[in-house]
Amino acid sequence: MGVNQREVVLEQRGERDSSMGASRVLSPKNIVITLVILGFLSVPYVATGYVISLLASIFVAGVLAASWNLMAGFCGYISFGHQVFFGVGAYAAAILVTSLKLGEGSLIYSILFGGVASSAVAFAFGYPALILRGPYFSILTMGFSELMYVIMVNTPWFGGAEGLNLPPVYILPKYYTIVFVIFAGCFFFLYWMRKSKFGFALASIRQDEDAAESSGIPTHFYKMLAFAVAAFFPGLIGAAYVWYITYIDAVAAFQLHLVVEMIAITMFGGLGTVVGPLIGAFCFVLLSEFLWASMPELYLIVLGVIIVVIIRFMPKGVVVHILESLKIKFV
Amino acid sequence: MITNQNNGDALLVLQNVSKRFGGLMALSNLNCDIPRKKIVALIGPNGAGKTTLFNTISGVYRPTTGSVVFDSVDISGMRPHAICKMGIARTFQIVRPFLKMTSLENVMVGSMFGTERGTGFKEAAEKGKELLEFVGLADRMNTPTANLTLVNRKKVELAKALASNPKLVLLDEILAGLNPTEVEAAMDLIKKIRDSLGVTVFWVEHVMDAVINLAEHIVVLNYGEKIAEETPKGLLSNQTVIDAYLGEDYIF
Repeated sequence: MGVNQREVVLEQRGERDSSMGASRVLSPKNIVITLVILGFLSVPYVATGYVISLLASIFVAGVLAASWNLMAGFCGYISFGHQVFFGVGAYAAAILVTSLKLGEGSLIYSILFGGVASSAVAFAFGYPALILRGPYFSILTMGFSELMYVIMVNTPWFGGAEGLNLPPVYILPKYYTIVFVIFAGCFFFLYWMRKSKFGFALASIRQDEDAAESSGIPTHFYKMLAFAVAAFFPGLIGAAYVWYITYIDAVAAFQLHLVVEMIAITMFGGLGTVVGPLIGAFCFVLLSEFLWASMPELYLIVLGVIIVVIIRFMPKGVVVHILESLKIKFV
Repeated sequence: MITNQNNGDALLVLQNVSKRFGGLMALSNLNCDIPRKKIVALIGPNGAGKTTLFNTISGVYRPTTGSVVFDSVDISGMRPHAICKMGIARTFQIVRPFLKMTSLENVMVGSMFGTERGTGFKEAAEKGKELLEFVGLADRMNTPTANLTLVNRKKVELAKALASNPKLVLLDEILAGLNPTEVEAAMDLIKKIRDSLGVTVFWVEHVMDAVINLAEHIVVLNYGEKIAEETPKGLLSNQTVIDAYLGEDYIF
């Protein structure tokens, strides 16, 4: 077999380096990854509140974009209502905490609960919705988000238009650590998924759904699974976010702005790649922070123009474009 | 004319299969047996319902009436992925490999998902290499299928179908668009599928020379009805088939 960069499958399965044994654990790559993780984890002890919250908002944006990209980039299903899962996670955690009168001790559990609730909603909604394809699916997701908004606003049990209040606790450092862990988990999950059987099923579905079905892939099941996973991460993020701002209402939970940002970041980074949305989030959030600080009145106009220019001239995404032109291998 | 050999040993049995699209009867009351380990051709003019029949067998459509019995199991109404796992693999008239994957990855998908139990990566890769060698595409293992020519894409699709360990393979116009040399090679391949893999071949084709040479059994459709079921020899003297499809001038 010729040496070919697309021999990824075998490489991935470790056929090549199986002889290297223990030294694999201490490979330069793993050391760098460990150092980066430790570096990020130590930020709350050294940085100012502004830097911590800025990084946290990068992680939040990155995870949201990556989960949108899981459906759109890997599976080929473009959702215009993906913010709904952020909202569901936030509401689920808020309801759990307020109705059971829980305190800060329930932080982790309530966040996990948010993720699971969000997945469950995605599973239930995905069952009928994922029969539709293309623009029909996209429009349906838009309607679903709007539906959830109206339900939340009009149901007193969900706090109605006033929303829900959580116990006021200061958890910025914890919040930072949690969203970083979710961010890292999301990255490693996608990295694993890309070359897993699950990833192959999604890639087949994206490229030709009927052919995938005929090849023995239960497409509907895999799409629902992908949708549930793509809802899990935003659910976690939503639940963590609600602890951070100690308050949630339907406007904040289901704002269209969130999905627009997911799409913008993914396009900025690179559709259908693992690193694209995650690195894209860094560039995008820092850029918008810089624009907001330097020209608040023109901020959105300039940002819009930049996105238009990027999509016109670098449709693969800035991050992918740069990595490709530097001939850096990426995933 | 061969009548339905009503033995219980047929691999695929179509019983009164009809498929209606609104007011159009695409298939009407089709009865047909596909015997094991034979090469059976399905011919007929355009619009006769050949591809509709394939889609009905492979589960893309549910038959309006009647049933499709495969290996003594009624599979009518089952989902395509389940039917693939039962042992019916197919290729498409217009080839549809996964263009962004390499040939090997394409074939691996067939093995990982198409077989009854599914296989792991390693096993799928081994099987994939074996089958790409079988179809004569070993040197293009790591080429994305988007960069392959039509004939090679067809080979990939064939290998992908075979990777699911089928008992029956449905080939939809696999010779269309190939040049004479390629047709020759493809015919050898079809023969090899039956002879060395023991897979039954059900095959839609318009290239009559190939059909006459290769098929042991030929089913003729016209307007959704079976108008003949013949041996190659009998076909050429069957007036109904000549009128409907071959034409008076067809000389073999």
